[in-house]
Amino acid sequence: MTGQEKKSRNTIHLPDDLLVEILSRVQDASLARFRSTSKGWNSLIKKEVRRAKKSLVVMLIDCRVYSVRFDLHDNVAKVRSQLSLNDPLSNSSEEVDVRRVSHCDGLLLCTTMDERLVVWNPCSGETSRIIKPINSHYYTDTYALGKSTRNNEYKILRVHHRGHGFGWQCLVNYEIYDFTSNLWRVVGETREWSLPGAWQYGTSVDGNTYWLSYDINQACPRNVNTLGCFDFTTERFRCVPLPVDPLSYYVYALSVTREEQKLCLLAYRDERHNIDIWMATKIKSTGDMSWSKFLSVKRTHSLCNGMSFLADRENKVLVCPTKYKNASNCLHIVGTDKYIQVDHHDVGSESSLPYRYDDPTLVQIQRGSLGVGTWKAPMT
Amino acid sequence: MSKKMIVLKSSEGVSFVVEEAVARQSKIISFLVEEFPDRELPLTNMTSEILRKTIEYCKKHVVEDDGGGDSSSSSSGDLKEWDVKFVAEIDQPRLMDLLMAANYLDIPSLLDVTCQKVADTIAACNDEKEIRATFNIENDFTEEEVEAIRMENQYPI
Repeated sequence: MTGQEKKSRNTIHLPDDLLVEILSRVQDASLARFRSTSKGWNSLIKKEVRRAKKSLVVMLIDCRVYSVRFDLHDNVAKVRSQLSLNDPLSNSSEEVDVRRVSHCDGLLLCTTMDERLVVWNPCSGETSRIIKPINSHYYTDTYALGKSTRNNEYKILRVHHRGHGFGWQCLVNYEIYDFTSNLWRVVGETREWSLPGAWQYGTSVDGNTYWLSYDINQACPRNVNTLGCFDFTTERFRCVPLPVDPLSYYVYALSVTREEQKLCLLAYRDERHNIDIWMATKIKSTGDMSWSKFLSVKRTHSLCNGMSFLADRENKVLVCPTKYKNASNCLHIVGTDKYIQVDHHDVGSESSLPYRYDDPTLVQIQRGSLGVGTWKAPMT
Repeated sequence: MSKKMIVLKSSEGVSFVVEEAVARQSKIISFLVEEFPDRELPLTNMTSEILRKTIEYCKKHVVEDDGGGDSSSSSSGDLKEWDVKFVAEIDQPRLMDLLMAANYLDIPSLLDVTCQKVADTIAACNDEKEIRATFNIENDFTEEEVEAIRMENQYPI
């Protein structure tokens, strides 16, 4: 082989755009391992991943989980891949219907339609064993995945309400599932708070999970909102103060900021047209939260209490799922008042797809976009 | 009706007579044919071997337009199967050459299958050492730099 020939067969001499085209087809988890191939590869992979991290979200559409890439400049959203979850207990390749998906550190906790749980690393495709709750017939139970800082181990929290309704005093007990022992154990119960229906899905930040709640004990003309946090290290709930005077606004929903991965709160003021997003930063010395205003936008349509959303400071917008125009796969851009259709028909032409879209069942998107979670890529 | 033929010439000067419809899958050749009709087209950066492979691919994928009906030579399922076999039979260095050829000649479907094959090869490598060996990439990192990347990558499952 001549020197010239040898050179042309070396991927280093592929143009960057071709190498990016190739690498974008490799799963993220493998890419992370291959960064140390060479300096050229490292910088390309880092750049690619940064771009992907900014624009990738996980969406639950009609019981299936999709990773969706959207571009807020051009207002386009493309399904990058459907993450198919098969039942490890079954020999058939039938996919499992997912009721709810939440996340912690980029790991997804899926609650299936038949009330089982599975933890799923969408980058590597690995799944945990299927976990069954002690009692599996309570649709109102809340689950959250978290991590103990003591040993970096993941745990699942189950919050179960005993008694009538949400928002009223009822017995709340909570249990922890431990991946080491594969067992559930009861860790506490309370009558002091409950997780109201719309707010029952928590938001995970730094391994702990946060919920909006009402303080039931206070006799007040208006329910006083509180912010609760379950600490997966101490396995206890604690109260976290809200920004400024909590009576001057209405709290609506929690999420995580895209860049900083910090807790943020969506609140209304002034006849509910002005929306403020507050971002919480932990003060290192005391461990308390300090709040700063992250973004303010005006809304034109009503938003759902407890909805999932993404706050984008760069484009001064919020992105949230919507049922507007009865579209099942629609995202609302609050701020510019635009709508993005998640274009699942376009997936065939997207050349960088890690999965092939020959399966006709994937094209059916019927019901509403129920959840959006920020995706924290494994490389940070 | 006789089909219009064109001549493509490899870097070694070997001429390949190809049906125009076959060669026109390359956007570059399509353009050149219109600009320079009745001339043989020199492809100075393509070896005969790679040009032959490229033509083989284009022949399989040509959709013949002979005035009626669906006359594509194969069903899409068969074609995909054929593609997989086609790239599987090519060794690594030649696959890179074919990928470069698909890029140069602007044949999107061939570029797609070759990129996918290279991506699959990369994904099948166990570590960066295997990648370097497979693709003949020089390691320009120091031990410390590799260790730093490894630390950054630590990610709990």
